[in-house]
Amino acid sequence: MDREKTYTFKAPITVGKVLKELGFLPYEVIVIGKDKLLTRDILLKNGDEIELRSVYSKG
Amino acid sequence: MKCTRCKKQAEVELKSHNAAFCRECFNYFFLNQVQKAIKTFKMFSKKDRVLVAVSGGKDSLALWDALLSLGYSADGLFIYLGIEGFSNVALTKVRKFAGERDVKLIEVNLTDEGLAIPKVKEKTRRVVCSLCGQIKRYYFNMVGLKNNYDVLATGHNLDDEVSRLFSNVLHWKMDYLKEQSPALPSEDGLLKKVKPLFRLTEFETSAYAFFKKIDYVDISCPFSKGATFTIYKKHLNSIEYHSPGTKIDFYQGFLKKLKPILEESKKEKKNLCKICGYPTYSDVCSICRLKGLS
Repeated sequence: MDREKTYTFKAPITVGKVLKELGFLPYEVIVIGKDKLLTRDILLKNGDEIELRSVYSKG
Repeated sequence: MKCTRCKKQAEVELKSHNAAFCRECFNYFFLNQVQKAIKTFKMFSKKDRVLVAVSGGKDSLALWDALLSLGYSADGLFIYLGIEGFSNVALTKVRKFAGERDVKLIEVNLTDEGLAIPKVKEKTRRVVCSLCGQIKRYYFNMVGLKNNYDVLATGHNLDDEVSRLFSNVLHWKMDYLKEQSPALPSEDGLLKKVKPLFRLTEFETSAYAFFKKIDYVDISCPFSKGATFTIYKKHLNSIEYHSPGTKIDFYQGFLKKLKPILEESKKEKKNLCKICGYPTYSDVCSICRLKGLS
């Protein structure tokens, strides 16, 4: 994943669909929104911002 | 999605456990998994002095936090690798973690030992990641023994263990398979080593670090680009996605079915290095040879 890269999606869209469109499996990233972790079923509305953080060790 | 335990809004879904958890229940689950690993493999008790090897990454800091939360006596050991733009960031994060919790941190500077990783890389043709691991293990052991710790704990998680097992099986590295375990007993010259996070995935340690607001190193070591184990981890996550629970089954199957057979086969006898006393198959260990002491 490119560091600090921003992507825009048409809402409403689920977190699971965003991961799929970006090519991530659910356990490769944690998804953060408003200081909470979001599960795949969460529906994102217009204006919502989320952060994807890779879980792979950086060694 | 609702929490399986308390029915509040879930923040974490764990298919392999057929469960979803809210923040509080996930932290309870996480600590339970750590405690289960410690008890099952008799890793240590509350009377023991545990030395936690910390790199500044999420796994080792999550482990240190979990052991302190569970009431264990756990100090930290940080090895400064001398890698520009990386080691100073890691040191700052580890010192901050220890300072916030008022816990003891031991630091070893490889530059002072003549073993700064960039310098070592220049001296040898060997793969630098494997050499770095070897040097770190040497100091983990030496510092632990010198300071009378009962056990050394590392932050290896389920993904680390499964990708290592996968690699060892792919290449049939029988000697490495014999040595792979969540707990290695103390031997002559070797401190007991344990991996209390072996039941937890990288996703789970990331979630725990986020919930506990652990500030960890989020930059890559410049020498670790394209590491083979990361590629294996991605393949294994793909299998896990299609068949949840495969990773833990693979690892536990190894521990229950193959490990007892491997342990029956006779081990090659190790000597002690005539310079520093570290176990080795030759007269002088590889670290003393690297330092130019033989």
